[in-house]
Amino acid sequence: MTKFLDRLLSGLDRMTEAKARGAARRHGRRSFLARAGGAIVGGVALAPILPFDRRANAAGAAAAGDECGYWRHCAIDGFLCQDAGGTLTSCPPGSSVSAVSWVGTCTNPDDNKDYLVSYNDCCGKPLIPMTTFCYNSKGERPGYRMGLYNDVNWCMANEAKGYHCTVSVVVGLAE
Amino acid sequence: MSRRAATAAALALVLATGAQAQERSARANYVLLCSGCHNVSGLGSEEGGIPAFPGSVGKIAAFDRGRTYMMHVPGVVSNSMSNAEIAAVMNYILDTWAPEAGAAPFTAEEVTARRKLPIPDIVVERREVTEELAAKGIDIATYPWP
Repeated sequence: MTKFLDRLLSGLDRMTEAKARGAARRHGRRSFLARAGGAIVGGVALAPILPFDRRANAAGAAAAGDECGYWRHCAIDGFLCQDAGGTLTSCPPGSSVSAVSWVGTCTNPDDNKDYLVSYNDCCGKPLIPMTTFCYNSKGERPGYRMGLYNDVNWCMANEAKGYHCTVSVVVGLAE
Repeated sequence: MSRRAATAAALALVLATGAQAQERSARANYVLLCSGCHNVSGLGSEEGGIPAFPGSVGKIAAFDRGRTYMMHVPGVVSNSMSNAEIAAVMNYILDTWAPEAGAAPFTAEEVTARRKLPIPDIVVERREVTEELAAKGIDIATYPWP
């Protein structure tokens, strides 16, 4: 009787141990992290599919194809700060925004309104040659029309005069 | 180099679409044709040699010779606006940065008449306007050009 109980208990022990080890293999912290990581990555990958207003990222969307074709760049002549560590409207860290600028009018295709866009240069850091260069300069005229001429380093009025890149900042409605 | 370049900046008064200057508000014309150098804030750029409006432009506009000077600054000379539009932009500037100065508003006729007067050297003119105002005890914005 005692032997029978011993065998029964040791059998239960083995079974419990085997189940515990199996569970540890299947549901260990590592496998949990692996599955949670997969869920997060999968979630991020799926999130852009969800319907939401992505107009705020329109510049980024244009990046896939024609960066220079984005409407706010209609009168730009320069390298895009958004490709140089800055954004559409802010200079990359370590550079300073130009005190003077070229201003143009561009039509926003979403609302068909004309906006005044200031093309400020960012100054005081070297140019990054791999950055996307855009030459649209809508409304520009040759140099003998000085007031209509944009082939100018707008960093000239800054203490640091080295040209780095250009931002496109909406400063108002052209009406 | 910097002053020459900044002169170019002052001259290149940012006229991206000057040919279409009509039918815009005075503020829109100011932003499009003037703010590239004078800034939307009207503070200009001391380093670039572009004088600030606040505390200065109203005093100049209250002085007869100063009004003629204003009609010959690089931005007025080089833009593509009509004289009526120039008058409207001048009045926008006075309303915005010199509401207390009490200078008379510009009219298209006055702009036309004053633009016809010969001003051979705008820098010399600025110096002389500055000196005449200083003699009256009136200080205007710093002007770095020699």
